[in-house]
Amino acid sequence: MSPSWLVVARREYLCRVRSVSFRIGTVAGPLVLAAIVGLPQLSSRSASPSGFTVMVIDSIGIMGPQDQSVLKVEGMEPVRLVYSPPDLPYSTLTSLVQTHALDGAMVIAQNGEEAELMSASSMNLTDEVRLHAALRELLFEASVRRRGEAMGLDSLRARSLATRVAWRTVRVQTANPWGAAGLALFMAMLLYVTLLTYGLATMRAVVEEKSGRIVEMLLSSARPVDLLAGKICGVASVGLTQYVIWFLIAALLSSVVSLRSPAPYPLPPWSLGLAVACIGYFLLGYILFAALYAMVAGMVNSTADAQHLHLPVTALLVAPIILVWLVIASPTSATARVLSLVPLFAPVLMVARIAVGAAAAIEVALSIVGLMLFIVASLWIASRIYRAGILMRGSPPSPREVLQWIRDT
Amino acid sequence: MNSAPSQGKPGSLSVHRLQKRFGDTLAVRELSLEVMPGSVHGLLGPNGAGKTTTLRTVMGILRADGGTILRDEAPMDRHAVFRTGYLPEERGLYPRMTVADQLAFFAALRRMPRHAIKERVAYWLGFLGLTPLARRRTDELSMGLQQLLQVAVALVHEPDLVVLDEPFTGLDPLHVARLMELLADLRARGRAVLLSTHAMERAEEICDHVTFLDHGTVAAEGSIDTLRHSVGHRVVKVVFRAPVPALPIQGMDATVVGTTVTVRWSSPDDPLDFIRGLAAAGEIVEVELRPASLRDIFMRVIR
Repeated sequence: MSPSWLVVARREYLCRVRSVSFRIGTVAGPLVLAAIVGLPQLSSRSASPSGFTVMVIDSIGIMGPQDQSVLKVEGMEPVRLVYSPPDLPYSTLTSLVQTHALDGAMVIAQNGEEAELMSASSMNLTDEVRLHAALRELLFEASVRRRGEAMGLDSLRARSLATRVAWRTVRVQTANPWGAAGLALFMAMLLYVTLLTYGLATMRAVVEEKSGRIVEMLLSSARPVDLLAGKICGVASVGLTQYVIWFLIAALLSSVVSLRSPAPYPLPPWSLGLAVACIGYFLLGYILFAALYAMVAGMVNSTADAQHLHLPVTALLVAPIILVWLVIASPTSATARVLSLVPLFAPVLMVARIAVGAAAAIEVALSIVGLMLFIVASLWIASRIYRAGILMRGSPPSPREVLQWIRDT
Repeated sequence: MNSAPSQGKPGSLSVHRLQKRFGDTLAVRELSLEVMPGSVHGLLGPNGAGKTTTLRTVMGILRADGGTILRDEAPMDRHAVFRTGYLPEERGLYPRMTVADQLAFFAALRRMPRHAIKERVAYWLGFLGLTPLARRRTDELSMGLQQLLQVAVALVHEPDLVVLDEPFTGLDPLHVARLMELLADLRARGRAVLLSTHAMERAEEICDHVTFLDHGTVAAEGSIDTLRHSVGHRVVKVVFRAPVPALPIQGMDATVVGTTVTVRWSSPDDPLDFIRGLAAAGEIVEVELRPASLRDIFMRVIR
């Protein structure tokens, strides 16, 4: 003998998981989202201007703007040399390469005897070797010339005294479509779409039971709160199943792809922790929005009425997906922190911050506590509206009537 | 199914001075009725009389504003409601669910043990002749079969009290006969049945006791025989060859339609004298003298 809410949940779960739409959504959903998130970034990468740009940082004046600004290398597009002030931070230089603003950089050490060539990982390996050789030669020439001048020697004599510079090459991982920002956006979109889909599914299920006149039969068999709890748990389980399938497929694909070296295409930098956070925030967010959508469903008699009344709730889901750009651009800012703590926004925005590695544990804990408090309050109100409105007929109630339902039920 | 004696079985329902108000309207006023195990009680009345409101209040779907509802002499709480079989006036099942799943779902929802569900589902599928359609979706059944399935859903958990709101609506004569057979079986097995209906012939056939409701108030109640005696136990129907302008029916409970005069005869006098008097007013081609039907009583009671 199972409790009523479990019987309702099981029915909701099995009906939905066995449906064709669940199978289609499970397969097509992430593919469409990946395309939405990945394509613009892929297209911007291929739209970079032809040729290469390499920044030269020389703090001891071996090279400078007086040297050539375009380096011609056989078999390569022209290499534009940009001379930077010597005080440019190394981290800035790295991020310029990461974001494809530069294809590489040459950093000459203070002693003049060491240099570093930084190149983008997206650069073709042949090009990298050619560029390496050309820059090495250029630096050697310049070094000999400067030293000879300083010693009053002509270039031939100076060259005979010159020593080769020791080189070290550093390969920097560049931003790919699945970089942290891309993953954060993908996760935020995934949460937004699933919360919206399952929230609306809950609302439609309640409205269909009302308009399909099943509800009176159900009310003679179980308490309204059990019916609502069962419905929410059943639909949540469907979402959970879908997330688990997605993450298992992602884990399987990642392990298969990473066996090949180098990887044939960039892999998303996701982790088990991120997957757990995503599922956790989905469940909390779903319960919160399901309660809000159930309130709407309790107040209407038809899907047509629900179409209008659910807009305010849906707007609360759309808001974080608009704000997610702000959060991803500056995930540690005060604005991002505050926004991601707002219970209605937390499921989308906190996951985005976790994906970019900017969420502190205390912030995650605070957002979960806030969400839970909000969920309890929403469920309390939703169960009252659901109980009072479930047998309602005629036009939707006025706000005053709804308040009366909440108070009197 | 095993037949069982009706006495000493649980399932009795006792409603005492029930009141239900919607805003300023008193939908049910001081209603009292008793339903005993092994009996069928009919709640009759015109549209808007308060029948559905009464049944919904009994089932706890609406909250009573006054009075008491006792089940087996204890207040009708939530658990007692869940042990009651209920067919609401507004029919509805999950359209995409299969017939067998539908029965199993409602049986489980009413806390039936898992091992018993399979057996009860098989029984009801067999009883309705739906075994070959067990895996069919509910919306693929005819309307009549859907309605019978709905009755089965109300009864699948073997309730000892059954509340049926307009159970005959939408059924063809074959399905009505099937339902009548089912109601007779429930009575024979000691179940208490409370039903509302407009089908007077069916109610007359199956009900042991009826309550007439009018504007939320009990207009008359009792066994059909009692009502016949108290309200008007005979009906005189006389058909004239041609319309008669002046009939001697003043002060009588009579209706005239064309050349037919129907009189509900409650007087202890012999109606033959009255018929002879009518013969003097015009040429009579047909005379019928019969006991009052439930419909006649309804017409008399509900004004």
